Formats: sequence, C-alpha cells, structure tokens
Amino acid sequence: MSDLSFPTDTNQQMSPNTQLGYSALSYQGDFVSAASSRGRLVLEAKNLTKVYKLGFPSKDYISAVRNANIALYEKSVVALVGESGSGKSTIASLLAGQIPKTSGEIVLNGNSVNVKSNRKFRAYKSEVQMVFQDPFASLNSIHKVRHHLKRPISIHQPHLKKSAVEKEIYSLLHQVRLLPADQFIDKFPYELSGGQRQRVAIARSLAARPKVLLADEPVSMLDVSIRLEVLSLIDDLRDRFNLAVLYVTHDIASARYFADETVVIYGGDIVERGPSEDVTQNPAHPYTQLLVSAAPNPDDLGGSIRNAKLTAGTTKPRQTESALTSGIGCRFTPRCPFADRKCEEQFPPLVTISENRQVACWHIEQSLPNVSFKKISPKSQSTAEITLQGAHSAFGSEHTGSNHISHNVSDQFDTDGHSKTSQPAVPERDSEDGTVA
Amino acid sequence: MTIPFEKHRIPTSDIGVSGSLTTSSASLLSVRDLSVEYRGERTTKAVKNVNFELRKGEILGIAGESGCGKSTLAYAITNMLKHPAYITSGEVLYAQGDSGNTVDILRLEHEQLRNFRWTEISMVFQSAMNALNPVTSLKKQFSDIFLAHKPGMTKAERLEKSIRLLEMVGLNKNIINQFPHELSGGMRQRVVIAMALCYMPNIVIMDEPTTALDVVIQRDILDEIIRLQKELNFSIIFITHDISLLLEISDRLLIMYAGEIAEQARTEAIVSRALHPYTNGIMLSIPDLYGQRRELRGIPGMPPDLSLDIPGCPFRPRCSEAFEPCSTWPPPKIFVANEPDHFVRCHKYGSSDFMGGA
Ligand SMILES: Nc1ncnc2c1ncn2[C@@H]1O[C@H](COP(=O)(O)OP(=O)(O)OP(=O)(O)O)[C@@H](O)[C@H]1O
Ligand code: SF4
Ligand SMILES: [Mg+2]
Repeated sequence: MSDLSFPTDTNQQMSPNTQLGYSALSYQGDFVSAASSRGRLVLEAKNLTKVYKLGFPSKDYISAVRNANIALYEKSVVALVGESGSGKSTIASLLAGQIPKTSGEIVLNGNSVNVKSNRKFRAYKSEVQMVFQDPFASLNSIHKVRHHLKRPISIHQPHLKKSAVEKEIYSLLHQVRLLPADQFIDKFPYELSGGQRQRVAIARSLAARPKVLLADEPVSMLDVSIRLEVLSLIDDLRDRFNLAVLYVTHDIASARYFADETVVIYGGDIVERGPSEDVTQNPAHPYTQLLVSAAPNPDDLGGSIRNAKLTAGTTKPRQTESALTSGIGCRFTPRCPFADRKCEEQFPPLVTISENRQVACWHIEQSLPNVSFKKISPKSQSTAEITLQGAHSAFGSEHTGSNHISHNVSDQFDTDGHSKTSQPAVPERDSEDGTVA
Repeated sequence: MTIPFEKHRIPTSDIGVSGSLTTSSASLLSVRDLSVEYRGERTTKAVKNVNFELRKGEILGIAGESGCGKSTLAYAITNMLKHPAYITSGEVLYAQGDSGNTVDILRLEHEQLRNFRWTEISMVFQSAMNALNPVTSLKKQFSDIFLAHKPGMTKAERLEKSIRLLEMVGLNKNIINQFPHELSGGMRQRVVIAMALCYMPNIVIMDEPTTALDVVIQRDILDEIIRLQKELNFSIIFITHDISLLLEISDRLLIMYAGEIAEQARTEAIVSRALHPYTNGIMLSIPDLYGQRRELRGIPGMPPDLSLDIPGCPFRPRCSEAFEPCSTWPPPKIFVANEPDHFVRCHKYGSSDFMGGA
C-alpha cells in the first residue's frame, strides 16, 4: 500500500524494457519443464493448433488450441488445467490422434507422427492411450469386464494364446487392484461403482502397454472419497510402467497434489506453466490467480464470501467465444483487471520467467509480487489498488487475502460498460474476520 | 482424545430427541424422524430417520456422496416426492409467520402446498438452469409464476417486479426479453435464483446450485447467494457433494451417509474436530490449495447399496476404525458435551470401552 501511495522510486518503470512488459522478469536461460526430471522425453506437442470452422452461415473460425507446446516425460504427470471450453480436452484428443490437427507437430519418441499412415497410426494409438471422464459411458454395458480387457489384448498382442490372454486379464486386474480378480472378471459394468469402472477403463488402456496415458478429467464424475483412489492408482502406475501422464482437469487443487508440472490454459492459449506447487502457491498469470482465488478455502471458514463487501454483483456474459474468433490480443482481456489497450491489441507471448516457469501476460510485473512496481495503473487509482492487493494477497502468506482478487476481479468484469465502484473490499474485512486459526 | 461426551443411546429412532437437545433460538423448520423409501422390485431406503432443525437466517449445509439421499431429503421436506417414493415416517414442522403456528408440511394438500412452496419455501434444483424453458422468454416465464400465485397483479406490476428480481441477482434488466438459451450457464443460474426469490420465501433449498458451473462462475454465484441471504435474511439449506464449499459458506453442517446423518456440527467444529471416521476420511480426501500440502488418504470401497439391509454401521466396510459392535449394532447418536449442536453416529464414542477406559 505504501508503495502505491508514495511512488518514489521510478527507475524501474522508466527503463525501456519495462515498456515491453517483461523486462524485470525475463530469464535468459532455456525453459526446462518441471516434469523433465523424472525421466526421458516421450511425447511432445510442438505448436499444436486446432481451428474449427463454424457452421453455415457463419464464416468464422474458432481456434480451439493455438500453438500449444507440451512435453510429457516418463514417470511424470503434467496437468492441463482450464475451464470448460478452454481447449484442454481438445489438446488431449489431438494427442490421442482422435481428431486431426490443423497445424503443428506431434513427436513420439523422437519421431514426428504422421497420422495419415494407417499402420503407423495404429502403432501410435497403442502407445498413446486415453482414459475418459465418464466411467459410465466409456464401458459398453452389455459386456463383462473380461470382454472389455480381452479385446485390447488381442488387438495389441495378437500372438497370445487363449490361456495367455486370460492370464494377462488377471494381471491387469491386479495392476489396477480390482481384487480379488475372480470376483470382478465376470461382472457387468452396471454392477461396478464409478471408481471400479474407471479402473476397468484404466486397465483396458494398460492392455496396450502404452508409454503415454492421456487422462481427460478421469475423476471429475466420481465421488470425492473415491477420486483419490483413482488418482493414486494412476500415480502408482506411472512409476511401475514408466508412463508419461497428461492429466486434464478443471480442478487446479488436484493438480497441485498430483502433477509435476501444471499448465494453465485459457481460451485455447497456454497462459502459464511451471512446477505445480509454484503455480498454485504463486500464480503469476491473472487468470491463474482468479482460478486459485475462486477455489473454496476450508481454512477460511465462512471467510471470504460471507464477509466480502456487499457490492452489487455484475453479470459477466462469457466472452470466451467472441475472444476465440477475434484472434488478436490476449483472450483474457475482457475478464482481466489489469487489461489495457496493449492487451487488446497485441497477443502476449509465453515468456520464460525462471528456469521452469512461463507466463503469457503483458502485466506480470503488476501481478508478481517480488518485483517492486510503483506506477499508478493507467486505468484508475482504484484499479491500481486492486492490482496491489491482488499481487500482495495471492502471494502473501495470509491466504484469506487471495479471495479479494476474486471479488474485485469479478467486479471489474462489467461488460455492459457502466463503471463499477471498485472500492477495495479489504479494509473492513481485515479488521473483522481475519484468518481462522 | 479428551473430548467429554454425553451418552444418549437411542436404539431405534430419534423421535423428539433432537428437539430437546438442540435448544435452538428460532427454529424455522424442524425435520423429525423423516424416512423415505423408493418402492419397486427392491425397496431402497434413501432417507432413514433423519432429524434436524433449520434456524432463522442460517445456512445449513448438507454434504454427502452421490446417492446418499440428499436430493430425496430435499424433495421430501417440500413434500414434492412422487411415486415410487414414499415417506414412511416423520414430520416436517414449519413455524409460520410470527403467529407461532406450526404446520406439518407433509400434511398439506394440493392447493395449500402449491402456495406454500413459492411463498414460504422455494427450491433451486440440481439441474435447474437447464430446466428453464429454452423457447420461452424470461419475461413470460416470470409472468407465469406471478400469474399462478397472484392473479391480481397487473401486467405492468409483473414486469416491474420481474425486472427488480433480475437486478437483485445482479443481472441487467435488458435480458428480460431474452431466451434462456441465449444466456450463459452462470446467468441462467442467476435467473433461477431470482425466480426462487419471487415471493421472498423464508427458506430456500438449494440442491447443487453451482455444481455444473466453472469454478470462477461458481464463486460469483456463491457470492451472490450469500449477499442476498444477508440482505433478505432468509434461511438456506444448501445441498452439495462438495464439502469444501460448504466448509466455507455454511453455519452448520450435516454429513449424510447412506441415508442417515452421520455427523452434525457447527462448521468450525467439523473443520477443527470432526469425529465421525467418514467425515474425517472426506476431509482427508480433498486436495486443497492453501497451506502446507497434507497427506491425502481417500476412503477405500464404496457406499452401500441402499436396497440391502445393512446391519450395524453403514460405514463399517470402509471404516478403518471399525470394531466388534460396528457390524452388529446400529451406532448410537452421541451428543458432544458442551457442544449442543454437535452429534455423531459412531460406536467409537459410545461403546463401553470408550466410556470405561480411554
Ligand atoms: N426414482 C427413483 N427410484 C428408485 N430409486 C431411486 C429413485 N431416485 C433415487 N433413488 C435412489 O435413492 C437413493 C438416494 O438418491 P438421491 O437422488 O436422493 O441421492 P443424492 O444424494 O441426491 O445423490 P446425487 O449427489 O447423485 O444427486 C439412491 O440410492 C438412488 O439410487
Ligand atoms: S460405528 Fe464403527 S464402523 Fe461405524 S464409523 Fe464408527 S467406528 Fe467406524
Ligand atoms: Mg442429488
């Protein structure tokens, strides 16, 4: 606060580099994925792009994914986090070879993958397996567990004799701990719980002895108490099978616990990536900050929401779609409290800010705390204050604060143009609720 | 553990007990011994002898896994269950106005019930935002609600009130002429909340009102709900599987398991000293973003099939602390001393072992 009220040191903002937005932060060395320490690079997406043409009469295109770079390493989990429609499932489907890419390259074990050759494509598909969100839809209800596992085994290991196939089925059931296997092998999907079905689905994908597992929201349809079981299973399997795992989720908290690297995607663009703990504890991109601050905080009992300043809410029609078609500038602009002209007009590149972190935002110096920034934001005094709170709270140790962001950020999203009273909600809150010890 | 307990052994049902023990200041709704079953080839006992109170101006959270009976309970309270669901026991007492009159909602007949539902208690359903008629304008949908209950209102009055409601939930009045399919999920959910508040009911029951929404939008809607609740001072029964959300917004919490309330407490108490092994298991299953990373555990197994008779404690097959009595006797309801709002249904706190030695 004091920094803001007394802008004395102006050196930093005067430097020409700061005009570009990144100066104080850019890191000169190469980017190294936080997932890379676990093992060998297995699957890589380079500038992966998917553009959909909107149907007649519209002539618009939607780029669902733009220039995504993702690298999956043996024994590691990379989480792809984003809201619905952000393009996270599209990336998984592209990597799985289920939909054709518009441009970019997919590289498996050093070889560029050309999905047009049938034989190679089949080989690719067996090495890259997918587990889907809905454990109820993904298994055909008229077939027993045995059948579900037998099929992929005979496809991927056609030389196996009948008895060997049966043995393999048992071994798969063991791997996913559906025990005693005897009891599960002859069950129909409807006789299994959601967690058990998801394990059958995982066992089925393991039948191909894949190198890569693409898990698209594998637990979001499951009960809280069962989710962890499935996640720990995947966690355990990646070790035992040297699997490279892509974990697609909307739940950034689970990424914190489960993934080595967390990649945040917004409107088809990767906006931030880094070690999961860093990204969740020190989010740098305003969208990641919003995501983190919106998550319920059990330690903040009745805190943020209940004591939040009671300002009238605003409607925030979702801008995602129009942003997806327009193509220029940062897609988070309509929802971003830091957004200015530049954000609307120029696309912020993903910039490496430390060895294993990247961020795409023209105003990271505003949202990152450990850089002193002292300028008054061009928007207004109060915006600048919010900026400071956001930066301060999202990174400070008192986490109750981070929820201010959500409140203030939301208030900023007034899209029908009338200006909001963006008075910071902080002062009275601090005196009144505080952190629950 | 050194928490002193009072022991109340209530072998079969808890009729009347909660009323006398939870001495509440202003109880608005009192659910007593409520049981519901779905009849068919096999009978599913979805709600079993449930007791609780809802107080004026509070947010009561009901948390539990899929299929534990949360929605059934919500429908039962508002007397909206239809075949094959049957209420097999209990009453739902509602304290009407300042008159001190109480009515048993379960005994209300058609017309009475219909009025009662919008004016005294309203509901926001699990899939409500998809339940809006997509091809009818919001104006007409609001108008229909008013016509059904207050036929005396003029057209202008109806429009004015609809607009006020939209603005109240943070929507722009211009959308009144739009159709639900033109709105985002978050906006639709706001509309549904506005409709639930048409007659300023005393109680709003919300069944998973934000579950289908993205986190950030979910947070906006929650903010809105809390703001309205503070302003208008109605009571909320907030039902969800997402316990972490309830930990933040609710005053008191009921943890449901297999059709029963496994634990009830003030929300702080659930955070700081949850007693039921299931509650503890759930708390250790949720990845969180705040503070040190904790060791997460999850709960093995799955909830029981409610169409089977479950001897003993329904949580026993998954419970790491189960011991002899758990497989035979239904666990008693144990009230925690000095915490009138806190009870737990578990042998751990009521066995003779516990009372004698530990
Ligand atoms: N129409 C019905 N006929 C028969 N059984 C039913 C019916 N509706 C629900 N049930 C059963 O009643 C039990 C409770 O269901 P209910 O919908 O109340 O659970 P819930 O806690 O709301 O779950 P969710 O979190 O999935 O919404 C379940 O075992 C369910 O299978
Ligand atoms: S009664 Fe027994 S089985 Fe049930 S929760 Fe308590 S200890 Fe576990
Ligand atoms: Mg339900």
